[in-house]
Amino acid sequence: MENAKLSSYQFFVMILLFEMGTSLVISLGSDAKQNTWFSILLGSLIGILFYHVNYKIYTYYPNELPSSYSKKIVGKFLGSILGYFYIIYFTYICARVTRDFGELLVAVAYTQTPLFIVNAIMIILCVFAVKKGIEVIARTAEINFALMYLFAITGLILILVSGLIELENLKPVLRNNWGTILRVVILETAFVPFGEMIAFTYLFPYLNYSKNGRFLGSFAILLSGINLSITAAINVAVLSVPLFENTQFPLLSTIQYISIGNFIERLDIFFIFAAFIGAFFKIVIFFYVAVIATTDLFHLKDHKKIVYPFGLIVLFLSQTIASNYQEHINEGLKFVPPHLHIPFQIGIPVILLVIAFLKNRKKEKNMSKTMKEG
Amino acid sequence: MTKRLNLFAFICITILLAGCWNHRELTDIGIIAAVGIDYGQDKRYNMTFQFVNPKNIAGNQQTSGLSGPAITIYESEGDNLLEAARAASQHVSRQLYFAHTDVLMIGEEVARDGLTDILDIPIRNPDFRSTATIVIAKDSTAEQILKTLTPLDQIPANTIDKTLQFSESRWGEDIHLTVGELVPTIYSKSKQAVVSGFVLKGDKEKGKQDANIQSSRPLAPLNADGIGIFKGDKLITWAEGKTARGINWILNNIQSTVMAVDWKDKKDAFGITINLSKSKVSANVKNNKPHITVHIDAEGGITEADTFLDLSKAEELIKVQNALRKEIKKEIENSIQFAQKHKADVFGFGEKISHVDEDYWKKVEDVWNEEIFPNLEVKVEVNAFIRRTYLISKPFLYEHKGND
Repeated sequence: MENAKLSSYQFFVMILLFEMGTSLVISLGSDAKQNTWFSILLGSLIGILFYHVNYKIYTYYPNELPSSYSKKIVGKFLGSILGYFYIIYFTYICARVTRDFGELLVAVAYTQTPLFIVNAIMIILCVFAVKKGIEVIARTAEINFALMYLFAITGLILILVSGLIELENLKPVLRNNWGTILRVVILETAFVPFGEMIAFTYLFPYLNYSKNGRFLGSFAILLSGINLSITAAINVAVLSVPLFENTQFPLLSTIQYISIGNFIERLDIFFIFAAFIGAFFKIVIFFYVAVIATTDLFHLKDHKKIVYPFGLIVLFLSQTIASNYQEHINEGLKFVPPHLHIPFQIGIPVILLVIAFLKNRKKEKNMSKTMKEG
Repeated sequence: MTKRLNLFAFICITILLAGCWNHRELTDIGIIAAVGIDYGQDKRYNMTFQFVNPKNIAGNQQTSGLSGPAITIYESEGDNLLEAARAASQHVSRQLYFAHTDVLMIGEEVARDGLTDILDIPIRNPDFRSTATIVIAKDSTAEQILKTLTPLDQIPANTIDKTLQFSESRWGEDIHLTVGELVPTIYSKSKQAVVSGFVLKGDKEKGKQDANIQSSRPLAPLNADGIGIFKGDKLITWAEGKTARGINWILNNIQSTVMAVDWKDKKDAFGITINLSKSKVSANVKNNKPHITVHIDAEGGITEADTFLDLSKAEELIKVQNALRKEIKKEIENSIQFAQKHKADVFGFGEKISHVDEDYWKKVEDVWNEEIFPNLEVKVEVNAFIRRTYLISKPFLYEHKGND
């Protein structure tokens, strides 16, 4: 673990950027059609629930990383295995996000550039940031947060001014297909992006007033949920449902529709900008967490030594996990949530919480017993 | 040693970050203003590209000695559109650059056979913008229209785009539609597409030559003409003149237009400018029977009066206003009948029905255009107001002349 401290505000903006990250640009939960905004909102509420589970465990073992407290909860052997699996999980998700980002840039802007180069540049940047440590990442987040919101607000105003929004497209509102909405929530939006907050359990110890963590996290998740929900609603309103369902990057299509007086148009840069900032924070935080978990698990002195090898691993994983974009996306939607997200994001934390709760109750009982006897 | 290593890394990264991998030099790209799609002779499609010729665009009149037309046309054939576009490399000395394409012109023959094959590439390709205007070359090929030179706006693509924009908002018989707006209606069962047409009048051969822009009266002017009615992805017929405007009234496309109202025996005695117009379509389903109400709010003033009527009196003005309401109502009802005759719900009535009663819509969506829409009861309510008569109140000229 690094010797670093994060302010509440830094923690807050990091969560916000991390959550919005790539979810802002990919078509998130689009199976719910015109009700996508609702399924995202519902997903964020479930995400807050997950977050509380993790935070509760942390309150039993303050100032410790999950890789250490899992050893205390389930024993040294099982805890180490768990910690090891989490490292693999974070590295894999990090590689997935890198791939998402690279594919996006290659499809949209750099059509002639090999995926490897695009990913490599991103990973070089992340290696640099992780080497500098979490405080540097947090300060970067502060600056980029302001930029991102500036762009988002400008974009929103431009869309409103060009009169693209057709509220008709959002109808009928929540009239039926509750089944689909709930399925989307349970299989997609609750886990990506909101369940991915599991990564932040490794950042709790850095928070300077860790009591704020519970409120900060919940608020940031809710706010990012609202932001994503508004974005989804605007996308549907502008694009209409069939196009929204079938476009790979709804936000890009929406932005391409902006045309004010035949003069302010072709604003793709807004999209690329959002994609860049979001993807960077998502990748860098997963990357950092994977590195710091390894450092902690293997009792290394310094996390800096393993940053380069991890960079290479992530880079090559991002190339090899799928042979084309469709395979990559389908894995992400069909395979990963039930097989990886459910156990890692909610299954294991809940089991840990139950055991931790029982253990601590026993301890408290013993304590009060000794107190009484004494 | 580390310093040197850092310097080396610095140089390497600088090269990468400049982003030169994907570079396209300005002198290597041909900016395309308009794309035309027709059937080819040897292969399936013939594409026409209207390249902007930057050297010959006004602004440098000094060099006008060597100027040619502001555009250059190239054509190429292919069995699909991508092939046709890339095949152009054989005779175009530059890379085709679609990011500034403003007009997608489709030959009538192609439009009658269906647009599905054509619309995939514009929305899939990141270069091409969905804000490009889509137009159909009425009674001709896209090639013929794109080859025509136009005098006021030197780039014909701009002429087409602007003509449609202004004629939609100031006259109301055409429709300015982007590719992005068209796509959702192409496969929709509840709303059929409408696309504006363009015709070439006059001497078609002369239109291609400089003569067209050098004579004071264009020898072959381009005209926006009528609205093409689609069924699914196929063009089935044209709505022209007042019928087309009726469609625009319902679709809420009219910002401003002029109405002519008959008075007594005199035809078109009053010219009324409509400055504000808003339409609202509401639907309900009762006893398994759909009902549609079209409500129009309009506001305007008398800008021309060619008969005598004491317009300084409010009650007389109300009479004209009632005549105006009737006129607008007639226009709208005519266009509804026209659409019903051709069994194409271009107004999106089906969409409104599906919003109010989804179960009913599920039952009828497959037969909507064929069976339900043609017999649909549509109530038209027009709430038009004449607010002013501008500078003259009473048309005194006719007071002395008498009505004839």
